[in-house]
Amino acid sequence: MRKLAFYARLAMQNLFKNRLFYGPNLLACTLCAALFYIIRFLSYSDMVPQMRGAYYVSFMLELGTIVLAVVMLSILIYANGFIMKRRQKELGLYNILGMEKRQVAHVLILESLFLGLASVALGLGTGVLFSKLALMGLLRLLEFEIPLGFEVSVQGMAETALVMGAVFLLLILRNLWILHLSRPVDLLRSGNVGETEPRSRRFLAALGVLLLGAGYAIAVMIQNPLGAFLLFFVAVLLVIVGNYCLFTATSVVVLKALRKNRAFYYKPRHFTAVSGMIYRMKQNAKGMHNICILATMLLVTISTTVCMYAGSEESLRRMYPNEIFVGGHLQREEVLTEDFASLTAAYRQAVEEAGLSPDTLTGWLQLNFAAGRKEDGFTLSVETDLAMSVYNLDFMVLEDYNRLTGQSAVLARDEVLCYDPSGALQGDTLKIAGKSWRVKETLADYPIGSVSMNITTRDLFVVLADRQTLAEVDALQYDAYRGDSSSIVYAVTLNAGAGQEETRACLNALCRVWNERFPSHGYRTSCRAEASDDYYGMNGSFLFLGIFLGLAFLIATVLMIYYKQISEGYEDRQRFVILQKVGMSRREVRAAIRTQVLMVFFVPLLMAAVHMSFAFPMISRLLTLFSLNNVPLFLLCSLITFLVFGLAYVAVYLVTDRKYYQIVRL
Amino acid sequence: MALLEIHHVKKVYTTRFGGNQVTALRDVNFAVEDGEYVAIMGESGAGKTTLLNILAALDRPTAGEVLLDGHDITQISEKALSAFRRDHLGFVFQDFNLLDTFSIRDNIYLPLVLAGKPYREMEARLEPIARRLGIDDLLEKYPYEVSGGQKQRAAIARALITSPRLILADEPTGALDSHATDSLLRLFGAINAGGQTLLMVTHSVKAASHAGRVLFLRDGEVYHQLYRGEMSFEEMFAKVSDTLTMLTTGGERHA
Repeated sequence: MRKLAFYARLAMQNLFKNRLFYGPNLLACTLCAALFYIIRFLSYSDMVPQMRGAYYVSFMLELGTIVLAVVMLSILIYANGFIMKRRQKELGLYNILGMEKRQVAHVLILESLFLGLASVALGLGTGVLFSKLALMGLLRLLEFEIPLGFEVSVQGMAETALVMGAVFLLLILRNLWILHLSRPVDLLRSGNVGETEPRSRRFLAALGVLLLGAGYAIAVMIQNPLGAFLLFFVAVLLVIVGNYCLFTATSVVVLKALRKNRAFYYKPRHFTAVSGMIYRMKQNAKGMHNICILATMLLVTISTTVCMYAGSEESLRRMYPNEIFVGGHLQREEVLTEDFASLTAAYRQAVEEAGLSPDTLTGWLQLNFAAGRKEDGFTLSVETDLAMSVYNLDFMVLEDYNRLTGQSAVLARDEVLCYDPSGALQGDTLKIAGKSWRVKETLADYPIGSVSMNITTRDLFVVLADRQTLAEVDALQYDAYRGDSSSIVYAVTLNAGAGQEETRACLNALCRVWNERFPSHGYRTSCRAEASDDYYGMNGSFLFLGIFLGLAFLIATVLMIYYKQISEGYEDRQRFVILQKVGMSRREVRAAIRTQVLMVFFVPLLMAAVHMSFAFPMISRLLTLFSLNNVPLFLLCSLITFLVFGLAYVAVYLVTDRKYYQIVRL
Repeated sequence: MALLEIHHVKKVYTTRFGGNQVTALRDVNFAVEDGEYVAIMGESGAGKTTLLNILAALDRPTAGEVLLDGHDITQISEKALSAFRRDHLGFVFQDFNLLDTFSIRDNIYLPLVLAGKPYREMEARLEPIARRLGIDDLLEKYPYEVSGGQKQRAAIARALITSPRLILADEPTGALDSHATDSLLRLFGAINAGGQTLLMVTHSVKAASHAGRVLFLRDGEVYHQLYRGEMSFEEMFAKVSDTLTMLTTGGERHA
């Protein structure tokens, strides 16, 4: 018992004496625990199931938990590894002064235990304090009412304690393993092993440039959004590996080439900077690489999620051009026989009965299907070929066109009117699967909006002469697509600008009308108001997760910067002294070392900006998959995110810079 | 006129917390002639390092003046100081103070690069020095790749390459084994024979016995001095040794 008290006292003393390292470590552990508690608190909150898009929200929270746990683990392993490396000498000394490894192990275990307990306690406290704020933020993003009251999730607390406990157990095992492998003499010596110059690894250096180039090329050159989606992770992987080689190998090769250049190298300003950087790169390359990748991830995550959230309304309008759409499926012969005027009248009446104005009600016969464009017209072969551009062909008949536009155009059987917003036509003939029509006129405008659900496919709108022709086209695509074929629908849209409840009621009324008339026919509907719940739920929780993980990334980055500064400080101290003795003025020394430290700090940020710029076109294209095609908005979001992050980075740098000068001060 | 004159140099340190004052140098007076080889001895705490720092213009005295070629170096402005140090003084340290980030060649070039000398001139200056110090085939190596004695030679080359008026050496043999010490002291003798003025601070009786004159520092003052004159190394060694014994047991003042 007395022994245990002794170890405990020693452990506390160690933590306190090394507070320069353990302070920030405790802070990081605390924040991690707090973040973890908050995300678990939200997962268990009663509010989530009531939210709009509840499914997305809870999915995002679960996903976030996993990602957060991984980020947390890597942060704490990094911090622990850094501290253990710094303390090698101290541990060696204990060993030499007569403490057995077993006893040192006791002290190490107690240290981790204290640290773990303190961070769980502080983290839960902080987490509980901020959980309400986080819930309010989430509700705000989802445009949901904020309830009164304050909750504490016991289950969330238990899970947080469990995960932190597991992480610390892992750290303890790791430290014991390090201790087990160590020999006291090595421990004592490890502080002043002569740093050797890094070798130049030309192969890796070239590979870095190559991989990075390949990643960038993919990002810039892939035009097809679907291809971008498939290759996005390939590009990310290439850039990460390339970035690693760039920092570890390419930088050294470049610096050594600079050193070979005598006219450049033997100048007071360059002499110490270049040689210093070569060594710095050896110790810092990995850290710089990590910071760079973390910063890039953070920037990409936040700017993308902010952009998606800010563009929610726009993409919603693009995906759902009409507030209400009901498309009833028809048999081919019914197209020729049915009286659609009376059907429309029935629809109008239903809208009126639902208490809305039927003025914006539009009804027309519609057929649309996909076709691939080849040199000589459109093909309906089902083969999927990513290289072939796919168009959505959208047909209506002249009588509907004239009615909707108030015109009185005339068409022969072999003539069509076309509206071609994406340049699908070749010449004045429209060819589909061997049949051809003369394009009588290309229209400047079209009475209905796009019906395709996303903007990755392009549309060609065609007005056919009569229902008979429509039936022929339908037969054409049915023969080609069979089970996958589309059918002709009678479409109605309504944009009455009503509230969510009325709109929903009206939609149901319209469906009833169709069901009464064609009880055996199916129909499809879309309702913007209904989709908007899911949509805001998805984008809102996406953004929330983005910010949340951004925070975790930020903690990781800040901690790395801090430790980097501290270790730089210890290594620079000796150089400072020597340079001054050999005839460099104090100011020159400061300037020289400052330049190098600035480079070590801001090169990763700069590279992150470069990565981000190259990722920009690719992510813009990916966003079109979410029906968001607003490049200026994304640019704005990216710039603001970068600016905010840059400011935070500089602030952290300045704070740690002070600590640095406290260490190297002569 | 003497090359270096030290008049009534005094240095008082104030401890960081509270006003405790520690007098490191009380009243130091001596002169070094051009071409002399002077050793300064004294116990730990006698003020050797403080004196050397003041001579090196790394530290300023509380009172008194230090004249190099008749100019008071304590009056040189902070800005001009490092250039002055670079151009007029050469340094050799106990722990060599070579930078691991530079090859031996670049370590030696360091003061010249800082002075903005062209590469051609640096190369021309290095060649004879490197040959004389026997380090011509080590130039491309790094400090961590060579032995202590070789490091110290490199450090001497760095001190010599600016053709300084005075070389200050702080315990130059402190980190060397006896073999390396012997060869270093022979080298110092040879350098001095070539007309270079040397001032060395040391603990080692052996090192001091190689000098032309030995000053003994005690309680912040020059307590005694010995001239070699026509003495052999062994006689000088015995003399220095005796003086040191007297110094530690506390005797009458002679200087």
